[in-house]
Amino acid sequence: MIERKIASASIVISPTEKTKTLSVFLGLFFQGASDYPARRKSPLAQSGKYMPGSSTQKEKSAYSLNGFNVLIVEDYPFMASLIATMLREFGVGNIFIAHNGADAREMLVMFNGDPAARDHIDIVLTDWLMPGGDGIALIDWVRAHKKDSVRFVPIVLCSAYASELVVIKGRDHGANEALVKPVSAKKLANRILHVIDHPRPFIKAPDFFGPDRRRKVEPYEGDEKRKTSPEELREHHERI
Amino acid sequence: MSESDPHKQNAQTPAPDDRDAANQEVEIFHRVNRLKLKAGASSLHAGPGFIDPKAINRAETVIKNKESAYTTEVEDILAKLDRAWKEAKSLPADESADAIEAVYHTANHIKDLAAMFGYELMQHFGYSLRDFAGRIDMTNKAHHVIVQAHLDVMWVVFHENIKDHGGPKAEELKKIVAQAIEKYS
Repeated sequence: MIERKIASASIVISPTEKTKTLSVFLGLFFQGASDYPARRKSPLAQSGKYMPGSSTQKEKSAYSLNGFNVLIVEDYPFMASLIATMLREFGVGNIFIAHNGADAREMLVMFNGDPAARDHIDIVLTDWLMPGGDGIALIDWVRAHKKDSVRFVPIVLCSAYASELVVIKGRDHGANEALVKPVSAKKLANRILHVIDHPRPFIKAPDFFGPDRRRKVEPYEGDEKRKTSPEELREHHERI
Repeated sequence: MSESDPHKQNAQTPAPDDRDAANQEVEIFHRVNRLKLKAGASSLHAGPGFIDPKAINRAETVIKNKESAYTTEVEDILAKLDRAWKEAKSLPADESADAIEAVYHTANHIKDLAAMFGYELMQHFGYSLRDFAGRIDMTNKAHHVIVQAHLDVMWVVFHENIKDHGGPKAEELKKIVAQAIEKYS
């Protein structure tokens, strides 16, 4: 119902500045619905060339990253600017750069500290090696944060080390994805898509907090090794 | 904010202090995938989406076009590496940690930069120097020789614009550094 109302309203008034005003109004009215550019039509749909059921239907699901806020944590400014350039080409709306872990922490507190704020950092891309605190230390800080709006933020760890050991270390500290350097546009897009399309539930265990380290569940026929039975698990389902 | 606000956290999510009390428990948090909706998916249950391939190609092209900036950038960064190393040598061994760290990170930047634009030989030496910088002992003069050998060959690679890993010149330069490491470390 909300979606239909916003969509129809957009058709009437867009593409003037009034659309924004209306979206804000409807967003407030429908309690946050305007946060989601889901209601924005794809460029093809806007052009009127999109026909449901046609061969161009795939275009319908092309993501719009215009509403995304991405934080790049990279101590080498030239590399940070290259990654930012790629993200800009993907259509990412807001790109922020922190040159060390301390600045990144400050920005995350500033943007995500208030759970009710509407401009949260959506994804953090952090380098592994940085002076004054590496990417792993940043992940540890994020995952240990008291506020849900900080500790659940998706993190992509960039590293030139392609070894299994490094990937496992990133995963065990709570990184959502690992991006092996050198960064290319295809690899970066792939990791961002993974964050969007394949989020895993977060697990809190005595020695771990982060995205479920199992990417898939397969049947196991050996001895039961788990200390916690499925009945003892506490599950929390977030609701909108 | 009402309950239906997408930014409002689930009331059932335990506060951190509460979690401390049940520290040994395993909990699973199923979060609403806001990013999917924000990206324009019609619903949370919609299948995987994609980033416009044209946008990805554009990004690749833009980065490729920046290769012209590589020469200027790598020259700047090699000069920075030289300065960091000179500073490290000029300080007493027990006060050179920051300068050594600068060598380490600058070498890492060279490695990343070279890898990005396919300069394999420069990447090789950047990696080798960064690796060695992690274990430099400034009281050991032989270590000075090894670092200097890295710097010298990197300048040669830059001036002669050697890109590939292979080739007789590349092999010769790699041999110089490998011998220095073997002899002095």
